[in-house]
Amino acid sequence: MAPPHENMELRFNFKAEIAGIAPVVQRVTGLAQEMHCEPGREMQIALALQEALANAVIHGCDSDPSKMVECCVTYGENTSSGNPAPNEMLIVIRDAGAGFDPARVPNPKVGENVHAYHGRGLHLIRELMDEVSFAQGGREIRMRAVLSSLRETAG
Amino acid sequence: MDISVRKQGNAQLMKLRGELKLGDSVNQFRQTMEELIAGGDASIVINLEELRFMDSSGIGALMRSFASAKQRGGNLKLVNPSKLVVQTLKLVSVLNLFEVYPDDASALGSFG
Repeated sequence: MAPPHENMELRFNFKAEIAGIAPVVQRVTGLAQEMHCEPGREMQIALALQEALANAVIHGCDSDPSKMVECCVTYGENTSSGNPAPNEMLIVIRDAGAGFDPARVPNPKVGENVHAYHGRGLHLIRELMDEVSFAQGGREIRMRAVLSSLRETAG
Repeated sequence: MDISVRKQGNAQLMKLRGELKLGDSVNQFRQTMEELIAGGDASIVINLEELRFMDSSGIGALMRSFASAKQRGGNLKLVNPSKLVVQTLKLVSVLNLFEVYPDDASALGSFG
């Protein structure tokens, strides 16, 4: 049976404020379901996306609504260069901030960090997505999600 | 998100419904917790069975409330979190910090 979509792209541009996050998360979550993702996978994608957009708004743009956050979601069935593999979603988020070094973000699972009141977002993204990389000095995050299987919790 | 709180014996029973995430819901949760704990009610059961989503901001608010309750000689115990919330808390190694109960009665009973 033909899939409902073939290599398509959704683009969002929104002002760097918290209220701009939910509509993007809602749309992409709906899209994952339309793509017949494994039940529950759409909520894992929603959580990773929520964290990445929150990072872009708060840390990237200092919640300054004069700055914009870009989110581009590519999905489809063809596997040509630059496109996600079948049944995958590629999410790219860019902010207009100063960037950061992901390697310097502390591990939230170590020592006293476990009790911290913040600092878990990036770790959740890495655990919930199948591949995560950064570009443009940390101003761009690229997240690849396989839709057909849930990410399981180790241990 | 919807929050309801009622006193049950020696503890407060809080129910969360919807999504605990960055923005209004986390602010509302933090404020409710601060008021309870400042008012001397530091023994708190949080029923999570209708909470379908918690982000890192929600986890941060939960950890802050947990620390405040402990400082006041109380505790914060969880009831029946959803599969996604369990996974979220496990992924950042905080689930095992909490006592988790299958229903309100057993959680409330644990406070004696």
